[in-house]
Amino acid sequence: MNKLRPIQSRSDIPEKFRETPIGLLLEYHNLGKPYDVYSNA
Amino acid sequence: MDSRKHLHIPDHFAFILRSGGANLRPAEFKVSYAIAVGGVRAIALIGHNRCGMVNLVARREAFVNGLIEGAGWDRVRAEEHFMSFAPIFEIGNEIEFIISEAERLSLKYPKIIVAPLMFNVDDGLISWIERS
Repeated sequence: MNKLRPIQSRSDIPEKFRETPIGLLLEYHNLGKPYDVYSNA
Repeated sequence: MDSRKHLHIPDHFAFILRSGGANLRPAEFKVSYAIAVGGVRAIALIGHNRCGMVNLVARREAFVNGLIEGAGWDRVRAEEHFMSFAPIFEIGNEIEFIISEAERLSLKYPKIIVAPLMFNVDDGLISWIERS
């Protein structure tokens, strides 16, 4: 059975996604991380 | 594709492709372009709950009548349109489809990180889908 894992803190982000754009996305969207400045994706 | 889904991310952080049911097959060339030319190295595949692509066949009449009334189509054309495309876009279950689509993308683009994620349209938060 596949399971939904809520992201309520940085420690909830799977290790394989931390320090990747996926981890950043989850931090920005769910955890309210202040936005960094990007010139391109 | 859903208007209830809005991401809180900085400008220029990501390329965003909207596709019904989190199905990227119809947008595959755009995915390849984003990787090849845009330098994308990770894909967040984000589906959402209460997805209209689940049990799409139940919306056949609404779809057909909507095209007749809203777009001025005749019934035959609208029905043919639905029957041509519904099998391509229909998904059985959001979570299972996102997992399978993430696996498909991982096989197709082996150097790309692909994350299966679910957006809850009720609270606006994203969860990670852990495969059993």
